[in-house]
Formats: sequence, C-alpha cells, structure tokens
Amino acid sequence: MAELNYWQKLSRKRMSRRALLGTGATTALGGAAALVVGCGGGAGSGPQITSDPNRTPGPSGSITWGRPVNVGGIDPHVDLTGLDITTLLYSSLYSWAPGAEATIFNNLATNLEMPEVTHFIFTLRGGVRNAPAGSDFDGEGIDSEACKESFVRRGTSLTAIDKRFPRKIAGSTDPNMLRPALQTPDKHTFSFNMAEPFVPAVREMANATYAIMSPGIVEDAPRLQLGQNAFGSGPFMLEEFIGNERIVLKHNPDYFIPNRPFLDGLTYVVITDNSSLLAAFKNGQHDVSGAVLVKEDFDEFSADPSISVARAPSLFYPVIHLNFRWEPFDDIRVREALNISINRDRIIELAQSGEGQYGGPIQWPQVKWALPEAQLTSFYKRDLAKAKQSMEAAGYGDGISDVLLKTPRLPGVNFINDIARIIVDGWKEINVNVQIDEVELGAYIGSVLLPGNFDMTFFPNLPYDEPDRPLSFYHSLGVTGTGNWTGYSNPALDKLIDAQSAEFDVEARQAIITEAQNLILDEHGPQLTTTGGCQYSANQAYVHFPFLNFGFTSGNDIPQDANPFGVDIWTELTT
Amino acid sequence: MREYIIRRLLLLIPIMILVSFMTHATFRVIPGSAAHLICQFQCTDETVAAIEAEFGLDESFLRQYGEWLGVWPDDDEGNKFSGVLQGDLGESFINSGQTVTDRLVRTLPVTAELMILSFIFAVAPGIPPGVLSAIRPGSIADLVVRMTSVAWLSVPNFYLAILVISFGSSLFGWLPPNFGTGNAVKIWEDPAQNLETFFFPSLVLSLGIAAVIMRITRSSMLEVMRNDYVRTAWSKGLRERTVVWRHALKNAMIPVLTIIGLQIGALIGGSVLIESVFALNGMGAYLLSSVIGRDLLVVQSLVLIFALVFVLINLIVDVSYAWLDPRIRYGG
Amino acid sequence: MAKEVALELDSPLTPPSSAPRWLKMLRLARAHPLGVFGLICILVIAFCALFADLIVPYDPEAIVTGPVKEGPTPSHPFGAERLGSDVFSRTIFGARIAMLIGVVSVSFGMVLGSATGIASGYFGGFVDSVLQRIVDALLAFPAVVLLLAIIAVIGNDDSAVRGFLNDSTPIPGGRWLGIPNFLDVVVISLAIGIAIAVGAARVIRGAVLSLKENVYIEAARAMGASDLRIMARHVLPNVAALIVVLGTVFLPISILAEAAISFLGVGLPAGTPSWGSDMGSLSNRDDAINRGVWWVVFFPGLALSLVVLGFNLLGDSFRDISDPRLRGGSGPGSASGTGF
Repeated sequence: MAELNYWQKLSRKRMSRRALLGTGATTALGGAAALVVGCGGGAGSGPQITSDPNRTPGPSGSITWGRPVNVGGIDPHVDLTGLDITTLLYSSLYSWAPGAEATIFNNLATNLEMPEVTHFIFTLRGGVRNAPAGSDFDGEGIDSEACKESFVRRGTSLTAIDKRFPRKIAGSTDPNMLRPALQTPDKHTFSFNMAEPFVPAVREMANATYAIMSPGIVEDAPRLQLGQNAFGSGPFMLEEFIGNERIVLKHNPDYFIPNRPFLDGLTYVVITDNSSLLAAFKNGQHDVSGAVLVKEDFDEFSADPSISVARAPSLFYPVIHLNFRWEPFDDIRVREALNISINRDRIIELAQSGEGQYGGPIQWPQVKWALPEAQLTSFYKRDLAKAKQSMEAAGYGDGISDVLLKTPRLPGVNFINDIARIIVDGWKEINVNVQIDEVELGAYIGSVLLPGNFDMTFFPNLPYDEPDRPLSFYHSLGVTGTGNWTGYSNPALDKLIDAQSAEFDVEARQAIITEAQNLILDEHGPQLTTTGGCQYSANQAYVHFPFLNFGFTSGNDIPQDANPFGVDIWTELTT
Repeated sequence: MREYIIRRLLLLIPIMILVSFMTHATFRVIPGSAAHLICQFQCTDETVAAIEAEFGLDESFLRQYGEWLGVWPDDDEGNKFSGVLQGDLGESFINSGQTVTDRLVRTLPVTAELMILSFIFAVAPGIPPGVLSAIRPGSIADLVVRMTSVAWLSVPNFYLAILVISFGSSLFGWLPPNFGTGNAVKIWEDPAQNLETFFFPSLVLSLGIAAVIMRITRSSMLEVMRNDYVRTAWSKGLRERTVVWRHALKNAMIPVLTIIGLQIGALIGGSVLIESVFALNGMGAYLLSSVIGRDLLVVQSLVLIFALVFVLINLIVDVSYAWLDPRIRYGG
Repeated sequence: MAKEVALELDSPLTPPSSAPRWLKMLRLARAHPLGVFGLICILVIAFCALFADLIVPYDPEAIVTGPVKEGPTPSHPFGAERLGSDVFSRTIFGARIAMLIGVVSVSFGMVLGSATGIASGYFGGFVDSVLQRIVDALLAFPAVVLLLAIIAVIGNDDSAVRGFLNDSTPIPGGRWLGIPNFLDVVVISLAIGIAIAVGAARVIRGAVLSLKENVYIEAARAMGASDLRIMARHVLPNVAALIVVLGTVFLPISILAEAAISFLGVGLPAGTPSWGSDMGSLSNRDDAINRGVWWVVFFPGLALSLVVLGFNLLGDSFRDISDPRLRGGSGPGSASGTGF
C-alpha cells in the first residue's frame, strides 16, 4: 500500500545495478577488486544463486514480474519510482557493476577517454535508433546532441540530487549555462570538461536517471507526457502503462544489440501489499517474485526445485539521526551512551533473519570503502555499564524520558517500525525511554526532517553503491546540498568529504575515506548507524537471470559478454 | 410519482453542490505535504513552490474550486472550462499524467461487479431464511437463522477476509482463484474466470449484509403476519404458502428495501477493505492508496463520485419504496 | 449512518410483578441467555480494558518475551509475533484501546450530535435549514469514505486539530495509561466522533421536533425563559434517554471503525497494540498468509468479533424485552450499515 518510498525502491535494487560488465572496466575507478561479500555463512560465502547456469539462453516467451511499488511515472529524468523500468526502455551511456565498482561499456557509448580526470570524451555507437521503426520519433538517431540535451534535462531536473555534478561542469544549474559547457564536436563524440575532479559523476552517469533521449523528445517533453509514455532506445518498448496496476513491455525489434533482448515481453503487476504479492508468487501467478523476502522464505524456496533463489548483501542501512542543535544530543557523552547501548545483535537476529553485519558510516557491502568488520564489532560492542557511566557523566544519571523518535509512516513497510522497536527496547536498559512517533510521510519530509524539527529520527538512508552519498549525510551541506538536517557541522570532516569526492586514485581515496569514517565514529553522531542485512529474491526456475546477484560477484569472474540489465533474461518458455 | 422523482432529482443539485464544496474545502485544509511527497528529500522552498504552481495549488481557494468543478476557465489548459462538470476529474499528482477518468474506467467495473455480486449473495440467502424464521418463530430453524445472522453480523468482513486467505494459504496452500493477477479479467472476455476471481471477495463482503437482511426480513414478516388482513387470510382457510408469499411478503418487503438501500453505503465502505485484502484494483483500493499518498485531486474527485453514486442509489431505493407502497404519499 | 428511527423508549422493561428485584433479574436472565452471554462478553472485555496492566503477563510492547513466531503455548497462550512480543498481552491492551476509543468517540459524537440536533430542532427555520443541509451533505458520503476523508484531514501530523490538542490541552502527546501515542488515540476518536455525530444529529433533531410542540415548552417560553435555558432544562432531559440508547448503538460501531481504519494503515501507528493495527500490520499479515503464523491476526480479530457479538446479542435482548412481539431482533443490528 505504500507509495513511492524511495528507500524501499532503492533498497531492493533490481535496476541497472544488476547488470554486469561488458568490455571491461576502464575508468580510474575500475581497479577490478576481488570482492568477497559474506551473506549468510560469514566471510567467504558469497552471494549465491541456485538456478542452473548450464542451459543455453535464447529467444523466449514473456514473463510476469510482481512489483511492490506504485510507479509514479516513467520519465527517467524526473521520476524516481520507476527507474528499474526506465532502464529497460531507455539506454544510457554505460552501465555500472556495483560490486566491482566498475564502468561497463556495453551501452550507447563504446569508449570513454579521459585525458585528465576532469575531462570526459565519450565515443558513441553509431546508428542507434531513437525509437522503433515507424514510431513518432524514428529517424532522430541517438547522437551527441541527444546526450547534451539529456544531460541538461537531467542535470537541472527538480528531482536531481544535490546538483553538484552540473555545477562542476558549468558552475551553475542554469540550463543556458550548462548547455554550452557540454560539447559535441561531431555526431559520435560527446565531451565535457569539469572545473574540478568529481568522482561520483562516474557513478551518476550510469544511473537510469541519465537516460539518453533525442533532442526532439526533450524539446517536446511536456506535450509527450513522458511520465506516462516512453520514446527510448532501450531493449523494450512500452505497450501499456498503468503505474499503479500494470506495466507491459514488449521486445524492441530495433534494439542496437543484435538478437537481444531474449524476452518477448515483460509484464509488471503492481501490488503494493507485500503479503499479497508474495502469496501471488507462491500461488504461481508471477514468474518472478517482487516481494520483499525474509530468510525464512529464502529457505523455503531453496528447498523447492521449481524455484530459483538468490541472495546478496543489502545496501539498505537503517540509522538514527540525532539533532545537534539542542540538548541532550549535543552532548557527545549522551550520544556515546546511546550508540553503544543499541542492541545491534538483536537487530540482526530479529529484523535481518540472523544474516547481517554491523554497519559503519559506509554500508558493509561496499567492502572497498567500509571500515573493517572487526573494528566495527569492537567499536559498537554493546556495553551497558560504560553507557551508564557516560550518562552519569553527562548529568543524566536518572536517564532521559519523553524523547520522541520520529519515524516516517509508510503503510506496508513495517520493518522500519520493527527496527525502531528493537532499538528503543535496547535503550530502556540505560533508562532512556524513547517513544516511537510515526509521522505521515509528506509531513515527515516537510515538517520534521528537512527543517530539522526532531530530537531524534529514524531514517533509513538512501542506499547507494558509491561512498560519496553515505558520507554526504555528515557534510555541513547535507546530502541534498542545502544543509544538514541534524545541524551538524564539522569543517575538518567537510574537508575530508570534499577531498574524497575529488580523488580518482583508489588507494588515496580509500585512505581519505577511512580517515573520515574514523572521525565520524569518534563523534557518535549525527547518525547512529546500526546493521546491514541481506536481500533475497526468488523466481520460477524456468526464468533465468544470467547475472542475478544484485551486481555483486564473488570473485573476479566478471562475465565478458554481459549486456545491459534485462537484455539477457530468458526463460525456458517458448510461447 | 413523476413529480416526486423530478423533485427529488432537483433536490440533489444543491446537495451535490454542497458535497463538492465540502470535499474541496476538506482537502485544501491538508497542508502542503503533497508537494513534499513529489520532491521528497530534494525539497526546497523553491521546488515546493514550483510543484504547487504546476498543480495549481498556489491559486486562491475559490478559484481552485471553480477550476476543478469546471465553472472557471483553467489557465493551465488554455483557458478552457474543464472540470468535473465537463467530465474532467483531474490528474494525479503521484502518478504524473494519469487522469482520474482513465483510472476510473478500469477500477469502476471492478468495484461495481464486486458490489453487485455481493448484493446478490446477500439478498439470495438473506430473504428466504428470514421468512422461514418468521413463520416458525421459536423453532430450531428460527434459532439457527438467528444464531447464524448474529454471528455473521459480528465478524468484521476484513477479519473474515484475512482469515480466509491466511488459513487457506498456510494450512491448505490454497488461495482465492486468480489472486494477485493484478487486474481482473472482464466478465465479457472470460465470464468463468471473472466470476471465479470475484466469488470469494464478494462472498466475504456479502455475509454481514446478508445477516442484516435476514434479521430485518424476519422482524418485518413477524410484524406483518400479525396484521388483520393476514389473520383474515388465515381464517379464510388459505394455504400457508399463499398467505405468506401472496399477502405478507410483499408488504414485509418495504422495510427490507429501505435497509437494503442503507446497505449500499456499507457495500461501498466494505469495498475499500475487501479490495485491499484481496488485492483487487477497484475504486476502493484506488481511494485508499490516494489517501495514503495524499493525492489530493484524486481523493477529492473519488469522494465526490462515491457520494454521487450513494445518493443516486438511495434515490432509486426511495422511488421504488414509493412504488411498492401506494399508501406512502410523497410530495405536498 | 442512520435514518430517522422511531425508538420505543417508554415500553416497560418487565411486566409489573411483586417478586423481589434479584428474582426478576434472574428470570430475565433465564429468558434471555444470549443476552446474558453478550453481557458477559462485554464485561470480560471491559474488565480486560480496565485492568490490562494487572492481567498481562508481559509488557505488550516488550520484544523477545519468548521465542519469536512461536505458536500458542501455556506461557504465551496466544503465541508470539515476529519480534517475540506476546500476542496475548497485546490483545488485552487492545481491549483498553478499543474501549477507550469507543467511549471517547461516542461521548464526543453524542455531545456534538446532540448540540447540533437540539439546536436544529429547537430553533427550526434558518438554523435548521443550514444545519440540515450540512448533515444531508455529510450523509451523502458512505461511512468509510467519510471517515477516510476526516482522517486524511485531522489525522495528519500537520493538522490544526492535532496541533491544538498537543499545544493547548493537557492530553499527553506520549504514553499514557500504558498506551503509546495517546494523542493519536484521541485524534482518531475525534474523527470517528464526527462521523457518528452526523447520524446522531438527524435522529435527535427528529425527537426534538416532536418534543417542541409540548405545552411545557410553551409555558417555559411564556415565563420568559431563555432559549438556552429551555434547551438545557426542558429539551435535553427529555432526549437524554434517546442519546444514551444511540450511544450504546454507536459504541461497537466506533470500535469497529477504529479497527477498520487501523487495519487499512491510516489509523493508529504500526506497533500500537490495537486490534486493527495488529491485524492490518503488513508484517503480521505477511506472516499469517505466507508463513503460517496465523495467531498474530487471529486473536486480535477474535477479540474484536467478541465485542461486536456481545453488543449485538445484548442489543437484541434489550429489543426483545422492550418489544416482546419481535423476539430475536427487530432491527438491522447495531453494527450494520457501516461497511465493516
């Protein structure tokens, strides 16, 4: 029943992030890291899938996929609730392998040249049809002009986060300034030069939000109602779109990768009630489950030979934000007491089905950047005696009562409330009596979170597979670039966060990020991070996702012939 | 009779104007959280203002009302009169570009069918046991009918719905047919599948109403059976069947009809609950998700439509009431 | 919600007899075993509501009171939910919330409804026309739809009503009587109260209209009594019985209404030990439907059904006693016409 809660959508990443690898990782970021991400049996047991890899993929029938979130719209530059679908309808310059943190040139651009870290020169694939033959915008190929107009449209969109990227290109977010800064020397070359290096841009451009559409469509966008219609060069075409009911895609015969996609069609059935969604999958109504699964379901499905399952670390990370502006959380001793009395083991046990790890400022699945688990385990070790001492030292020996923990009310997303209940329960033992206060989502955003009108709030951060975003929550400017909701400001930390976003050298960046995280740990705020769990998925065994592991690979075995997400899904059905 | 109907229809106009005004006023009281749901964490004062301007939320209260109703030219749509009166129910904020009318075309048949089937399921098993129980008061049959009706009446339909699904699913691995296919197959496309889909939701929704009908039928029959003309019929030595079905039932049906009319409101309300449990894409589920998503214009238009349907059905009930009972004189 | 209903208030409850009072009661109870059963249901639930703190073995919000998702056992008679909270304790506390919402919403609804109904019926003319048109318009909404609309407005965290209650009344914003988010309980009660008032106003107005013609009202007016005095001294006492009867009719309706909207996720916040929230909470539903954990929705719903059953049976018996000709229920039943 929940609508457009973006963390629910993004935490369940099924988007382009699942796509893996093509012609190799070429940017400065892509130092093919050997990733071993534990989920389940601890280190070493990587993500796993149970489907049989030894079958030959080929053209196949249509599948039905459950979807737990209403798709508000499918304008890739504006709507954030349908990015998993827009990634199938439009193409972007390149794709992203989140586990390896590598760019994959399997999409519109065939090459990226970077004479300097600030200078990006893309070579585009020729002859890409913007829209299927015979349709309205057929003939307006995807060329460098298209890239330019799309970058301007996305860069200045209302929903674009923090807008640092366009600012670094043009020094402004004014479309008229941004347009001349993007260069199109010829039809197949698109380039720009940034004022200063900005690493997160590499990740950002691979997002579905940076979909490329032709200039004619960009110009005509208001009339075309891109929220409801699609004119793209992606592997699928839109056949029917009813965002709160069903979305029907069909094979695009003019897709630029030959013989792809394998599927004839893909139908999303939107059911915003997780229990019904899961029941419908169990009942055989959906080929691919869209429901949020727990370990119990995973185990049940694992035992069923007719169902394939997969599991991978989840980037979703619940945190408590503390307000630095007034008492009592402006006192580091109180914050420390709260931090080390959170019962993290219990969160893992109850809310994450026993599969999870402690999380620092950067979520544990981002192994390249996260602090070592051993350090976190000892730092966050639950120590009630020490916590009580800290409280006493801060003058709160009798405890604190009547504090409200504000949480957004999201009918249908109960795990937020569950985790909040576990945290609050853990604090009772140091006489901190906190009451959970659910606030309707719109009011939560408008009158609690953004204006900083809370003592403490539980807010599951935007999961993102780039270290810059989780760190931005600690920046004085906050994650949106308009100010930190908690009132926290630390110039030393700001400097480190800015420095890492400009550092293209992986090792140097790692060093800065580690330093920043250690600084954050010592502050015990403004966010108290908790734990991270796993995410599970299931589908009928006759459906094959060649690169299913939510983009996480267990080792260096990055497939060489992978295509953008969705293109390689196939089924044993031949209808 | 005709005069009465015309008078009632004319009376509807001021009521509906008041209803529409109240709906509009009600939903304008909700502060600007709708805009925040669109820009979410990127909201600044400017973005909120821009979004409100886009949806015309920044205009004066009366002007918004006029534009929504269609009696004020809409400057966003080329100064045309386009509003509820012209059949333009507005656009969703959340599902950008989706019009309420488009959505209604798909959801209305689902809710209508759910209501009609529930109505049939309620009336068919409601009236005969009610009659039976009344002509044999104190018998075992009477007791069974009374117990059943009070039990049906007391179990909330959403509880029953959740029990049907939970026990069915966890004990027998059974779910209502076509559960979770999203949109129901149209009855004219595949009647069998369609009826299969609607059978359980309608049944669950109907029980409470069937109980009400049973009870009112019983008491109404009891009342009627004591009347002089029924006694006369008995004393003339007419057979029981003739007495009951010819003489008593028609008159006993008058209060039953009133109650059935009142139950339409219950059916509409119940559809919100039942559709959400059975994952049907009807108007009720649409209303609920719009309330949750603070999709103001949609809620406003939907509430208006629900009210209109409710009022019209009540009118029909009143008219048939007059037709059934010639003693009742309307007007004057 | 209600149309003009003629309620027979003057029928003698029992035939005159010389038997002692307790014997009369006993006979009455013998004659109406179902009514007695209904009364017992209500009394049991009311007892649970009053002494919830003493009855419950665990704090209803405490987690890990035993193994999670454990079925009914002697120590957890109703089982435990996904975080290990005791379903029995939650259900008992649910009775307190339900009763509280019932009483608060009915009181509020009756005060509002009587004020409107009496003013409308007594003054007549312009006041009556205006008030009745508003009531007409509100009656044009199906009950659940009206309730959703009211909740959308006053249940909102930004709303003026909420702000007023929080800032200008002593109603605690936090926990009170062991109920978390007490303010939410009050706000929801007010919303339900408004919906109730609409129906009540219409019925009370009808009663006042006929009352107004009485000589003693004329007499009071001739003696120069003010309108307010007449309404308070002469009109109100004469409709008091009607108000009480309406109140008992609306009590189970308001309990059901709260359960329904909480079930839909727009009522009390998730985690509150209310029957509706526990049945509607998506995790509970998910567990019940997909993981065989049926007890988390079964018992709260059972308690709710018992309360409604109790009121229905008791109501039936009262009607039987007041009008013995219609043994077995003359009306549609107290909890009808609402869509729950």
